Parts: sequence; structure tokens; C-alpha cells
Amino acid sequence: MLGHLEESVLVAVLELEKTDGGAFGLSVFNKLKELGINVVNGTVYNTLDRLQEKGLLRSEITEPIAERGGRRKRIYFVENKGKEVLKEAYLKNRKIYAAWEAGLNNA
Amino acid sequence: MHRSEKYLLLLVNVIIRYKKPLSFILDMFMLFLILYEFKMHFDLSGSTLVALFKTIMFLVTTYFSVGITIWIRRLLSAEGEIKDADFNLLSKLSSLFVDAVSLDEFIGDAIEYGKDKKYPLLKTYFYLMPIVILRICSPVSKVISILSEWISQLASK
Repeated sequence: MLGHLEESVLVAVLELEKTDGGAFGLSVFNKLKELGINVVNGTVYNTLDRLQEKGLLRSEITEPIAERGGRRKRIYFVENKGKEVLKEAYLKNRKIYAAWEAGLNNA
Repeated sequence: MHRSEKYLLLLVNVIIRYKKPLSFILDMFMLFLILYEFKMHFDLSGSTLVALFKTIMFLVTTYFSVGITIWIRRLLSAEGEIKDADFNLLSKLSSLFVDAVSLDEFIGDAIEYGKDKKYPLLKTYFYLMPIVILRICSPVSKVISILSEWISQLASK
């Protein structure tokens, strides 16, 4: 079972993986802002850690990068289990909204 | 020396020692003992004791957060870069809560965040600060809630 923020972070990582070849803390934070989700950046890192502990994400550490003051970067990728969980969440949400739509039409 | 003066000195000692993360747990235990003796001496009720403990913890945590803020500001040179000597110091001191690789990741992200901004140093600093504070405060608040629970149980006996 995913929380709303976990779901959003997972979607953000998946999208960044396709567009940029992988996600990192700052890019996930920016992507969430783009999606209209405003959270404290520290929360993003905690959520990424939690998703990794749940086995839904994996990460790799890069070599030091000069543009980052010689600091390394942690790149996140969605695991197959993460994709499955995300699909389940999507189907569940679709059912909920279909019921909501049917309720609206009958009103 | 009067008994209350002894308590005051012990409390000051707790606050000073709070700068070192490792001694934090010991200090919490010491504070717990002091408070328990307070309860016995002044015959305080359980809820008063818990309220007192939480107030002290709030003040200590605030003090600690301000300390971290000053720490991070010292880490950043005027050009918005992190000084290596200080970085090593921070790595050592914060290793209890933040591992070196994660700290490298956070600082790198913060530098990248600040580099195209009008005030890179400030932006880097403001990006880094909540991450580090959240990492350190989260286990600290867990310890506080466990100790509060203990005190409350002990006081109700």
C-alpha cells in the first residue's frame, strides 16, 4: 500500500528515468513542484529512502562530479516491484474515479 | 552548594554536551534521572513531570537546530562552496544520523540547486538546512517520545 506522496515520488522517478535516464533528489523535488506538489525537500529524500527500503526503488552512486563541487550523486531507478505497485495503485484509483463519475452522472 | 544549584549545573552541562551527537543519549538518560529526582523531591504529579520534560526537550532541540544552522553556514565559503576541512568535520560529527555518502549526495544536490540562482550561497544553504535538520531531528524526536512515555509510566506507578 502506497501513501499519496510515495505514489507521486514513484511516478516522478519513473518519468525522470525515461526523460533523463534516472532521477536524483533535486530532480525529483523539481518534478514534484512541476506536478503542483509542494513538499519540503527533506521529505523528498526521506520518501526516496523509504521506497528503497520497501524494495520499490534502487539507487546507484556516481563518481564525483565537478559541477557539483566534486560531490557524488545518487541516481534512483524504479524496480519491477515498484512498477507493479504503481500499476495496482493506478487501477485502484481508476476504479474510484469511475465510481465517482458514475455517481455524478446519476445525480 | 544548594541542591537546586547542582541541578542547574547539571542542566547546563547537558546543554553544552548536546553539541556532541554521541553524548546525546547519555545526556537524555541523565536528564531523565534528574527529572525523576525532581519528582521525588517536590512530589510532582506525572503530568507536570512530562510537561516539564517536554519543555526542556523543546528548548534543547531548538538550541540544537540553531547549532546545526550555524554549522552549515560555516561550511559554506563565500563562493558557495563547501570547505573540505569542515566537510570532514561535519561528516564525523553527523555520522550518527547521516552517512558520508548521503551527506555527499545532499551537499552536491544543494550546490547544483544554488548554482544558477541569484544568491547561490544562500540558496545552497537553504536547500541543505532542512534536509540535515530533518535527518537529525527525526531520531531525536523518537528518543524524546520514548522517554516521555517512560516518564509517564513511571510517574503513574
